[in-house]
Amino acid sequence: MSGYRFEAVSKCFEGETIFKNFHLSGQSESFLCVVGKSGVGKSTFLRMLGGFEPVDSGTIHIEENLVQKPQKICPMVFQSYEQLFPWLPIWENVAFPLRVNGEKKEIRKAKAMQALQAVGLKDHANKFPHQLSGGMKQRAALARAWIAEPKILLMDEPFGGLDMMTRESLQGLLVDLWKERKWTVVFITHDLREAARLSTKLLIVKEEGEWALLENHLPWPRDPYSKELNDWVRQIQL
Amino acid sequence: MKRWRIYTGLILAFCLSWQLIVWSGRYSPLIFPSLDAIGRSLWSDLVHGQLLSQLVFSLRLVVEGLLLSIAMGLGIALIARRFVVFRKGIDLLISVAHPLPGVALLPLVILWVGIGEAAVLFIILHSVLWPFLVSFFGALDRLPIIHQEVADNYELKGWRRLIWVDLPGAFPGFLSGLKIGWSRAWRALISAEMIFGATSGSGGIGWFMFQKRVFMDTAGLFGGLLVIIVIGVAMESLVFRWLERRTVVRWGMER
Amino acid sequence: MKKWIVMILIGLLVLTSGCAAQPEPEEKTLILAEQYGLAYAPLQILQAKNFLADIDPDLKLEWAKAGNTTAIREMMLAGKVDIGFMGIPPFLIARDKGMEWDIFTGLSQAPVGLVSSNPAIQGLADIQESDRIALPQPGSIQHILLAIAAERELGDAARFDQQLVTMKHPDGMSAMLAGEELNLHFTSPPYIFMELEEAGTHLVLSGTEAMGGPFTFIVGAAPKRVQEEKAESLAALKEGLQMAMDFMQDHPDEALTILSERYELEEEVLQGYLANPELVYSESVEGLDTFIDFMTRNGYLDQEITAEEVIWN
Repeated sequence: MSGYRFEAVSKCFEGETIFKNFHLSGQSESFLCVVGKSGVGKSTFLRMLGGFEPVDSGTIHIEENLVQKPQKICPMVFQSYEQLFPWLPIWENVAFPLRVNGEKKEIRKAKAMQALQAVGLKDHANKFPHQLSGGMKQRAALARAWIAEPKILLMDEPFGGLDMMTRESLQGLLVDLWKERKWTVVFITHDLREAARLSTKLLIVKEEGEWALLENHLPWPRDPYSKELNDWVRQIQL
Repeated sequence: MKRWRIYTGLILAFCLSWQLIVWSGRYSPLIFPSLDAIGRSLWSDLVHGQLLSQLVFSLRLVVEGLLLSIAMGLGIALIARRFVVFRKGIDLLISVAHPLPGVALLPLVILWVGIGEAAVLFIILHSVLWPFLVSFFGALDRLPIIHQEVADNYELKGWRRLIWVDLPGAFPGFLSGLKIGWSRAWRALISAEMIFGATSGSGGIGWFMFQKRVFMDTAGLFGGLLVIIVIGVAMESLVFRWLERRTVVRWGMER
Repeated sequence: MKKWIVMILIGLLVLTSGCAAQPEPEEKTLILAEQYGLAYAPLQILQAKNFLADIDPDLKLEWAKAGNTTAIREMMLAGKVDIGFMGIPPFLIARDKGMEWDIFTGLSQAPVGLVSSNPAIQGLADIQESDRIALPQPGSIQHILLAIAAERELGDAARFDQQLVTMKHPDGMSAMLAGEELNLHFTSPPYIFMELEEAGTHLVLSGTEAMGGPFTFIVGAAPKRVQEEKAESLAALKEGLQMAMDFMQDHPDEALTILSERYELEEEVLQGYLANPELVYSESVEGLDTFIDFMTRNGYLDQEITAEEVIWN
C-alpha cells in the first residue's frame, strides 16, 4: 500500500475553478474521505487521482510515479450500478482484473470465491448482475476493486442511493476490510456522518478552489449515532 | 399457454372464414382454392414432389448468405473503428445502398455476376449487410462509457478489450441487426429465385412458387405460401428467440 | 363466444361486399390485353384503322397493359380483361386448371426459335446442365416447343425444365448476348431477327423443326362470361381482325408505314422482317392437336381436352 501526492494542482471545469495550486499528501494506509457540496469537484478530484481526468497544471504522484492515465494499481469503485459487465456472472466480474493479468481460470475462480465470501455474496457467485440488488452489485464491485491487491482504492460515492440499513452494514464491512488488509483508501461521500465514521482524514472541497483538511481522531470502534461523532460532524464547515 | 390458445383460436377463425368464402361459390377456385385442395396439393408436393429439397436448398442459401454477411459485417466494423476515413466511406455507402430494394439491383447483378448461386448470394448479402451494419455500428458507437472506463482502469487494451468488452457490449445491436437482416434476406432470396429460376438442381422455394403461378396451380401456390410463413415464424420464435434467451435475456440486456 | 361469431360475420361481410361486381359500363366495351411483338401486328392495324367503327359503331375497344401472359390470365380471372392474346400452351394450361375460356381466333404463325451465342452448342444434345435458357416463362409456347424437341431428340421432355430463366424478350436478348451461363434464348419476332443479325449468334432449333410442321403462334382467347354476355361484340372483333389481316395483304405499303411507327422500327428493316415467309397472319388455328397430345402425354395437362371443345364459333 502506498501514499500519493498532489503538487500545485490546478483544474478548471467548464469555467469554474475547482482547484487552484492545490497540495495534498496522503499516507499509506490512510482513509481519506472527500466531502463538499454537490458539484463542487469531489468526483473530479478522484478522477484526476485515478488518471481519468487530466490536470490543468501541477502533478499527481502515486508512490513516486506520475499519474498520466488510468492504472490498475488504483482501481475505482464507480458510483454507477452498471459498472459490472452484464454478460458475465458475478464471480467472473469480480475475477476480471485477474483475468486481465493472465491468471488461470481455476486460480481466478478460487480467489473470486474468497473475495465474494468476504463481502457476503458467495451464494450469488453464478448469478448475473441484473439479478442482484443495488447493494449487492456495489459489494461485488468492491470485491472486484481489491481482488488484485491494488495500491490505492478509489471509491466514488459507492453507497449513494442505497437505503440506510444497507449503507451502514456496508460501511461496517468496509472499515473491517480496510483495517484487516491495510489499504489506502480515497472515498467520496456527501454524507458527513458516513465520512466521520470511515475517515482518518477529511478533505473538504469548497467553492472557488478553496479547501480544508481535517484530521479525524475519533476512537475506534465508531458508533455512527454516538454523541462524540455527532459533535465532530457539527463542527465541520462546508 | 394462454398466448397459444389465442393464436390457435384466431387461426381457426381465419380458416373458417376462408372455407365459408370458398363454399359461397363467389370466387373461382383459381382465385380462392378450398382448404382441402391446398392441403392435398401441399401434401403431394412434400411427399411426391421436390418441395422439401427446394426448401432445404433455399434455407441453405440463406444461411450461407447470413454467415457471409456476418463475417463481412464484423470485418468492416472492425476496420471502420480503426480508420475514420473508412468509416465515413462506409457510412456513405450504407446511406446509398440501404434504401435500394435488392430486386431493383437485379438487372445489374445479372450483368456483373451472372445468374448462378453467386448472384443469389450477392443479393442476400446486399439485403443483410446494410441493416446489420447500421444496427451493429449503432451499438458499437453507443457502448456504455462506464464499461470503457472500467476497461481503462484495469489497463485492458487491443484485441482482448475488443473481444472481452466491446463485442459483448454491442451484442444486442448485433443480434437485432441480424434479425432484420434475416427477414430481408429471406424475402430477397425468394424474389430472386422467382427471377433467376433454378440456380442449380431443382432450385428453391421461390422457384417452386413461380412455377405454381405460371402453371396456374393456385392451391399449390397457397401451399407454398403457407410453408414460407411457417419458416419465417419458426425462425423468429424458435431460432432467434432461443438465441436471445441464451444471451441478451440471460444477461438482462434485452432492449 | 357471441363476440367471435359477430367478428367472423363482420369479416365475411367486409370481404364479400368489397368485391361487389362493377356496374356495367354504359356503352359496349371490350378490354383487350396484348403484348409486344410482330406477331400481334393485326391488333396494331385494327387500332390504327379503326375498322370496328364500320362493323359496330357502338363497340369501344380498351387496351390493357399486361407485362406477360401470366398477368393477362390473372387479370382476366379478376374480370379486368375480356380478351387476351397468347400462345396455345398457356391457354391450355389455364383451361386445364379450370379456367373457363375458349379460343375464338388465331392471330399469327411466326418463325420462333432457340438462339445461342455459344458456338459449342449446335444441337440440343450440346446443352450442358450449367447452361441457362431465357424465355418468357415456364409453360409458354417457347418452353413447350423446346420440350417437344427434347422429347423427340433426347427422349426426355422435362430435360431442360430446371434450366429456364424467366425474362422478357428484350432482357433475354441482352443477357444472352452478354452472358456466359445464360447463352440461350428462345424468342420470337422481332427479337429473333435482331439477335441473329448480331455476330456470334446462330439458330440452334427453330419452332417448325420442333413442332414437325406449321403451328399457330398466337391465338385470341375469351372467357365464358364474355362469350355469353358480349357475343355480338366478340363476333364484331373477329370480323375486324380479319379485315386487318386482309388490309395487310392488300395495302402492304400503308400497313408498313403504320407498323413502322408503332413498333419504332425503320421501314426498310421492318419490311425485311415482314417478308419472312414463316410470318403469316391468319385466323386459322393450327397445331392444336399436337400441343394437346404432347402436353397431356407429359403431364403438363391433367384433364382430357379435345381440340373441338376449346374453339368458339
